[in-house]
Amino acid sequence: MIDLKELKKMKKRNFEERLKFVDLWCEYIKTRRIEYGALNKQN
Amino acid sequence: MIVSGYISILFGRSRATEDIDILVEKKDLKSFFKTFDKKGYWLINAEVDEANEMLEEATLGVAKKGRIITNFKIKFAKTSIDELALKNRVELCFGRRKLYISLIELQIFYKLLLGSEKDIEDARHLFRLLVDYLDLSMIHNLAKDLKVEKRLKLLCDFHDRFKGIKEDEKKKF
Repeated sequence: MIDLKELKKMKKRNFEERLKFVDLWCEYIKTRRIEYGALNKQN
Repeated sequence: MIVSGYISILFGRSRATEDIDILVEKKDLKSFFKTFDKKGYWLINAEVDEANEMLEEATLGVAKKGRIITNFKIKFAKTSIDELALKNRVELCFGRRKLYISLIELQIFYKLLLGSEKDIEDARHLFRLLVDYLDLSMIHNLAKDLKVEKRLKLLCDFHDRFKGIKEDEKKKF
């Protein structure tokens, strides 16, 4: 599970850290997409 | 057609600046600019009558009435990359509404070419999110032609993914 608070902290760090943030943020978005897709099916 | 940073935002990137860069075909847009007033927008750096001439030289800023901060930045397609982007634009549908955006492969390449940290972050975001749908040979060949091939490593596992493509597929773009 990706911790949103931790993600926000990473955003403020150096370039390497921010690239890691981008990678994790993408994973987070992909997860949310799956959740949203599942929600749509239920409705 | 929408280009640059806002495409990353459309695909979920969290970003401090949210200006919308619009690339348009070079032609007379006077009648288009005249509709702005009715729609509640104003041109920041030109009068409506001189907007077209301004676009020949620079970018045109557009904001909502009563605001100074730009919402849109409009520019004419001038370079070969601009022309290529317009020719291969992608339709994005929101219900019945449509937007046109630049081809994602071109967008990633262009961001690598610009090369600032913010641009690399945008490129990486689009790459990581959409890698399974992208034409990697197009990104690779554009980067090779413009001699920014080394920057491809900033897209994380680009080279590993690219190695997995068949040789004849790599040449198709």
